[in-house]
Amino acid sequence: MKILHCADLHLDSKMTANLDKDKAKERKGEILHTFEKMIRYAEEHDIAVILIAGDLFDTRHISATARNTVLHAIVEHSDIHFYYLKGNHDSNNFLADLEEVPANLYLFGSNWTSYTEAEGRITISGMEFTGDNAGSADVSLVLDAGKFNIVMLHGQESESNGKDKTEIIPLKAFRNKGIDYMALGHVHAYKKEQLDARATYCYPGCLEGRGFDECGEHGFVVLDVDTEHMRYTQEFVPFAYRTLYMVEADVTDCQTTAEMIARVEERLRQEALSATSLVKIVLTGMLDVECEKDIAYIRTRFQEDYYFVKIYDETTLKIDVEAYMLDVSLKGEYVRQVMADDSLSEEDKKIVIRYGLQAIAGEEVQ
Amino acid sequence: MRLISCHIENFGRLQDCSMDFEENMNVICEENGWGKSTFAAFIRAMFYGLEGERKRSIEDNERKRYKPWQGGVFGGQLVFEEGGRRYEIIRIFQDKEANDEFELRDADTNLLSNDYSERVGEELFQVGRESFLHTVFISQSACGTSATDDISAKIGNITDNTNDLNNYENANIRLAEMLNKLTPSRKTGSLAKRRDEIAQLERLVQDGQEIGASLERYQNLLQEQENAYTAEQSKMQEMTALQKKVAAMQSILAKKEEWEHLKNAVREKQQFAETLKGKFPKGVPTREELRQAMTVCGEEERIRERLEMTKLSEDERKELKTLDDCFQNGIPEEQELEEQLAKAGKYRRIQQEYEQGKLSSYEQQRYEQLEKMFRNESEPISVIIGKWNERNNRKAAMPSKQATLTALQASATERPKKNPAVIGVGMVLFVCAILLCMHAMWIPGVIALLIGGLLIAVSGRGSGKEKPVEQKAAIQELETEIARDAEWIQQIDSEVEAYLIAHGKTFDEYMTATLLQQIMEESVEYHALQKKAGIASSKETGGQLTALQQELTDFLGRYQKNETASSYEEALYALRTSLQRYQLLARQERQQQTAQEEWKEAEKQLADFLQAYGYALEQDRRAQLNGLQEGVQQYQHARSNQDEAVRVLTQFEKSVDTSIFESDAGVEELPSLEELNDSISELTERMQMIHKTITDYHKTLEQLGNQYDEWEENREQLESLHKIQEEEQKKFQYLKKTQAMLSQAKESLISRYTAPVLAAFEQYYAGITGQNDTDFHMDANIMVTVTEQGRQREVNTLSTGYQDLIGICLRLAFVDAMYQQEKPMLIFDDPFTNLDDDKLSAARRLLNEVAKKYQVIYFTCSKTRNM
Repeated sequence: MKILHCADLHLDSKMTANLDKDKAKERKGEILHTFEKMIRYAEEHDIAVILIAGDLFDTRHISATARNTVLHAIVEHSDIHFYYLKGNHDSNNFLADLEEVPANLYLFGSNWTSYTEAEGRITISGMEFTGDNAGSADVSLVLDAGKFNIVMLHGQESESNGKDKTEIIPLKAFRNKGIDYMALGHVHAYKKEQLDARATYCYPGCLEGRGFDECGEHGFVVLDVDTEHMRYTQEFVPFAYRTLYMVEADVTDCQTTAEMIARVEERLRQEALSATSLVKIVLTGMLDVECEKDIAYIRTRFQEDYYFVKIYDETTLKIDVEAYMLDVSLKGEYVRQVMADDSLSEEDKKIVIRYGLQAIAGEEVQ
Repeated sequence: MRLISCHIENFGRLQDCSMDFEENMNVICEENGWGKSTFAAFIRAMFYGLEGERKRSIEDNERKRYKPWQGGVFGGQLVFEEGGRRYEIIRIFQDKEANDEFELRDADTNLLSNDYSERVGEELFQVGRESFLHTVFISQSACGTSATDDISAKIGNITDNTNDLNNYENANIRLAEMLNKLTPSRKTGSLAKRRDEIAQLERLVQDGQEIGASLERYQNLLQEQENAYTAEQSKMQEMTALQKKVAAMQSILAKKEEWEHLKNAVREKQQFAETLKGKFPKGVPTREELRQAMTVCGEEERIRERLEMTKLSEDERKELKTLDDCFQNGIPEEQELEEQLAKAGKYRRIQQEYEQGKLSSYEQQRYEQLEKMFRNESEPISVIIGKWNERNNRKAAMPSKQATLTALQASATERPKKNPAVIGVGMVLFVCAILLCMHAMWIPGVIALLIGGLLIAVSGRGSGKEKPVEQKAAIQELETEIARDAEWIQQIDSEVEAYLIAHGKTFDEYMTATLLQQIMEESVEYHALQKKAGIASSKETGGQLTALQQELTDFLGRYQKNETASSYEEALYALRTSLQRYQLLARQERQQQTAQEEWKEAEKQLADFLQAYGYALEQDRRAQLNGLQEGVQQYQHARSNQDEAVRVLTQFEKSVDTSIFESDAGVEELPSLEELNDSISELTERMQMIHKTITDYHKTLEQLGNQYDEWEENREQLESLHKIQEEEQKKFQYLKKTQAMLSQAKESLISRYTAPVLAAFEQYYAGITGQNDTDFHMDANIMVTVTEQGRQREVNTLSTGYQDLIGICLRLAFVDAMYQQEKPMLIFDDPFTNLDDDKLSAARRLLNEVAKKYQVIYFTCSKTRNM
């Protein structure tokens, strides 16, 4: 039996952290569409079960479109069993107004709830964390070791403090409980580790990256369970429609914006990124204090090449103080005055010098 | 550099004015209104163009101010020498600066030169217009001066290198603008605006802190209500199950009751049917039998009616007897009767004719009279009338024929040309034809028409070919015809006359037609009387009458009808009537007999039927049978009801397991349905209230959710704004620092050059005033102050004369410091107006000294100030 494990879809997320209003709306729609495509993928690949390990939605306020799309997808694929465990971002609003929960949608509660699949050979158990039950989650879990046991939880693996009311999953406490696969959610990057001799735990990561802290591939995990021999294989399936990348470009010694652009181009050529990507370009290195640098223009230059481009300037200024010592111009006098000012830090001096030189040269001060 | 000469085309009031300049001192002493200031402005304009383009007032806008009132070319030429070379500047000013014309020529070769551009002033003097005004151009109203950046730069001698000091002001302005844009201390500054925005958001965020807690609280409340609802739902399920159970039990009881009821019904109906059956002595007749009996009864009734109807009365019997005697020899056939009737009719007609065939005395007389006239007639009158009509036609045609003949004869002897007379005749004939036709004389009319047409055609031929032979033939033919007609007419006249005479009439051509018509009528009368007389004298008629009479009498005698000749038909009709009556009565008698037999048979059938079931036939057998039928129906109905009851019971027993009716256990322990329903209603009501509360909580949660989302948005925005504010604050600090440091650097740079300017100034001042001990100071901006009464005073606190003096000295000091190698010319536009006589003398001396170093162009309107 094939099982799809996904989590942290964060449907209906605002997406305005980086994107403008229009692109944010577009991206929101794309993520919802990726969800629909994921289900179609499941249908095409004879996947019988889909595990949603929390944070299906981003906030408690779910738009009608998102709600209806998700429900429609579930109802239209009545042959697939959907197991939905709520995460810290989820609320009851998704199903609140439904008179009847779709028959192929299985829910969990604050106590351990178990369902069976494959004629009883596979057990899927899950518990939604509240403030009270996290501590005893491991204790109250009782499994039949003769079955193929899948356990669903949403939280941060042990010994890391989760924010936003996340709960900690003390993985060690779940060892040797007859678990075969822990289908977890909350961490947005794919991670798979061994829990014990029998079990592995896995974060599939989020389905689509939403910010530049979620760069790289994203998707879901497909398990292929051999219920006869109680064995399974696992595969991460990259599925995101768009990928985020962070690219560093060293622009040391560049004197002009054009030179910096050339350096960035070279780096991007090396990365060979798709035009659908979201790219954060980080300029690094040391620049002369008098160099001409227009960050806005650099962004403009590359924004047509990708879906979204962001430029971060992490360059530092360098100044050859000696060159100005004998300069009898205003510039020279200015640099000498600033360098002699002990109230400024070295970094501040560089910035002040840069500003002054730009002002004297009639350039835009930035 | 020095000025060589100039020529003003038109500039202000100056027109076509030329001037050559001396190497050193050039004094232009003219009265007021001559245009000295204009002249000075012209020189300035040659180097720097016109000033104040965007100014509206004529004083500030040199283009407007110096535009020549008299029209003409607005501009001129100026020749100067610089670096050993002589140049000529030619400027023509138009309405707009963009349209101004500028040329620089080599004054020696007159070729265009690119050594200097339109900005020749800046390029030559290395200062802008303002600095030019502050140094080499000294007007009477602007003696005071200060150091511009150009001046400072020039003084600093660093313009050759980077020109950056010149841009200090712009840099400072730009920095000031940026600081202004950012400033936190003014409302328009972005830092200030953002600070307000942040404060507002912080308030909102602060106020919204509770939303999360409220949200959680309501969620808990909702959970409680949902739990309560779930509990009530469970209760409801239990009660519903119980209700079902009770209902089921009650349903069983109801069914049992129904079963008992059905069994009772069967019993009752069975009893009733038996009772009814007992009323029949020998069993119950079937419906079919009864129906047949009723049919027979009905038949019997009809037979009796028939008996009644066919019964003969006493008179009828007698009549029948009589008729029987009458027809004892047999009954005549209808055909025979018809034949006899026909004979009687024939007899009657013949007799009538005979009676009618006799003529009256008048008729007899008239007949004899007419016989005389028509007895020996050879031709019938119709023939005579026909001939007479023909005669009239021919006679009527004669004139036209004659006219035609005349015309033909006339045309044969004359030349063949149109003859109006012939045409006229033809026309007349044409008209006659019309008139004849109108009088129904068709033949003469047509003939006249033809002849008339022929005449017109022939005479109209005119000069056509002649045909004399044909014409002659025609003439001859016509003559023959005319003669023939005349002869025939005469003959007819004779015949008719004779005829009329024979009939006792006189011949008159015009009355003949009428007379002939009368004869025709007489002829008709004659023939009618003749016919009438013929019939009466016929012998056949008598014989026929006799024969017929005999036959009829014989026939009637057979049936004892002895009728006379006058009423055979009546007798025959009477016979027919008797016969019909006889047949009717006989038939009736037969019907009566038949009915009698049938009635007996029917009665026997009824009696047999009733007897079979133990009944005797009654008088009113209809009522008897009805009663019997009613009884049978009741019985049948009762049986039917019984059967139905049995069927229903059987069906019920099939559909329901009656064994369940055996057990009554537990019925008494269950609550009643009414009690259960009440409980369920209460529970439903409670659940509805809880549901409503849940719905309200959902709504509230939705609102709180939205508020929370909004609060989160605000929070995020606040974070973002804090970040931006921090960055901008940093930037603001940097910019401030930059501005301060830049100013500091500039002052530091400039201050190096103030000492030589001060020294030069003091020298010039001493030269004019003779005072060496005045304590002057000069700051980094090359602003002069003087120590008076222990304090440094700005020069504008001194008298105007002293201010002008200091200004002039300062200008000279600037020029000395600025132009260490290439000396410019100095233009003085009557600057000493405020100096007293002593100082004026000293100024004069000074100027002469200056003239040794510089080319001086000195304008004045006063001889006292003449150098």
